[in-house]
Amino acid sequence: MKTKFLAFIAVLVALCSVQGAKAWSGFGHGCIAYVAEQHLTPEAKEKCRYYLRHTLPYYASWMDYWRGSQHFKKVNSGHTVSVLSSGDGLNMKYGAMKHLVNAMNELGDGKYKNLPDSVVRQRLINMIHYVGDMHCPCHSKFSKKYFPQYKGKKTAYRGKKEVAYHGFWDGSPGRWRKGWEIEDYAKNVDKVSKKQATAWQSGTFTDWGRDIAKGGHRGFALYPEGKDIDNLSSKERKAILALADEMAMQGAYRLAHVLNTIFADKSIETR
Amino acid sequence: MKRVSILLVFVLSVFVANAWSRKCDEAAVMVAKEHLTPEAKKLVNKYLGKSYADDVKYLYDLEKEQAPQLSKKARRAAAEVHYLHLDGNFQPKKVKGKDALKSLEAALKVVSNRKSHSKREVAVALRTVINLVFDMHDLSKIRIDGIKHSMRDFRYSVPMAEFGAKKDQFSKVKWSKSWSYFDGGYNFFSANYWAEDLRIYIGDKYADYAKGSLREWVSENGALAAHYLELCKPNQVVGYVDRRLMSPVNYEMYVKATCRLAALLNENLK
Repeated sequence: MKTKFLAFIAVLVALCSVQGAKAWSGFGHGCIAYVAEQHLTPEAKEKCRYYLRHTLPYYASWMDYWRGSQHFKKVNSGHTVSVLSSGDGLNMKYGAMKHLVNAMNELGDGKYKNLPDSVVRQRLINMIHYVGDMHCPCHSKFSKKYFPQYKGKKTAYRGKKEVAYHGFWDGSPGRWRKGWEIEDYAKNVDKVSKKQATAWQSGTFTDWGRDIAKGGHRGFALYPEGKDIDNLSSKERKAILALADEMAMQGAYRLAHVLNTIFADKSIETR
Repeated sequence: MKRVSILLVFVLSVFVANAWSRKCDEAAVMVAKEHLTPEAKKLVNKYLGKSYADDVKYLYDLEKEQAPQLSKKARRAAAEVHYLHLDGNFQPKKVKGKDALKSLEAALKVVSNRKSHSKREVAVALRTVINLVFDMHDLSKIRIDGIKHSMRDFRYSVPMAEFGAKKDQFSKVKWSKSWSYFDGGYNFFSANYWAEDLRIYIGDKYADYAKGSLREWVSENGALAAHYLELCKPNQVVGYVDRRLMSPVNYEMYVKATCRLAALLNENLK
């Protein structure tokens, strides 16, 4: 009996840990991919559909679904951005940043045309996921040496259930928005001005990384440690949703920008 | 009396959950309608109205409405209408009661001989066709002679990961869920967006998917079900990758159901 109970707990813990590792959750990823799709040039949209044979949101969580496979073990770090120190301390040779740089080098400047369709398809599937993923506040991986303040955070709660930092930001775009579909999200949240979109899309990948790290810092500042997330004040909820939406929109507009650039046979400064 | 019994069979046929989600079914009907001939489309609109979403909802509403009035035994007997019964060579088997193929063929007969039936009977028959075409493409609703575990739903185990997870970390997966649920959830997709995804996937391959006859499709689906019933057995472990590779097959079955629904309606609404 005791063994069965322990096995049950083990499965439960495993389920929680798998869930916790999925940034943005299926809903968040779907929304980011959907918003990105709305901002693709007709040419990029057609090419994406040719290679994917599906919409962008269909593949938004594909990397999470396959992440437990031995074959994808090495790209598992591809969901996060490594922040070594303040200033320019980004590790561009690690995680999502590394994959983004590699993908751009491989596909940009019209090079995708020389590759087999299956390779382009796989690059796109991964990109749809990790460009969104790396914008999740909990996916900025801060060096413990330079950012000791982020160690040992207390959890938040939902009733008696613990909501850890990662899980908290994972579910943030869909939290308090029961029944929303991706179109609802886009309609209510995608109110980004052209000026703002251009600001997010401009610059190098390193600049994007710095923005993402800022979002990561704000994520820690807003995390309701020790509080019941269902009993937060409207001001707190508003601030949490504002950060989640801002980061999700950054991810969406940048994903669109990367895809538009690739399929316009151009490249982005990958420094 | 005959008319009443025909209606009863159709009405009873909605007691098991339709394959895939309600939104997926709505999307499939939406896309199937786009592949109808003008004549078939006109007739579908005449019998079911223009709002396809309401057609699918109607079946579910009916299910909820009728369930409390029936005994458990009656509900179980009615549920058989959703299953295909095949012999060891994946050919349709003669069964005493009703099964999906018999009921589907009966419903198609009503649709093609619509002039000798009331408008309500034809409408119910059309809804039955929609329901059962989806059911016959749900591999968990296929019962095959010689494959004992195909006769009832069961659970198999899948490792939580190929690495990182401890040896005893498995998730139990229901056979029926493997074919009636898209991994990843997608509950945030609207019916319209599912339809968009289906359109992209089908592209210009509608004719390829719609090729063949009803009985050929049944045998083809039976062979595929047998393949996966060999892989998935009660309480056995299915590999992490093998389980994930079932996902695109599930989508392909959904696409086939969509195209074949259109083909059957085109054939019987001339």
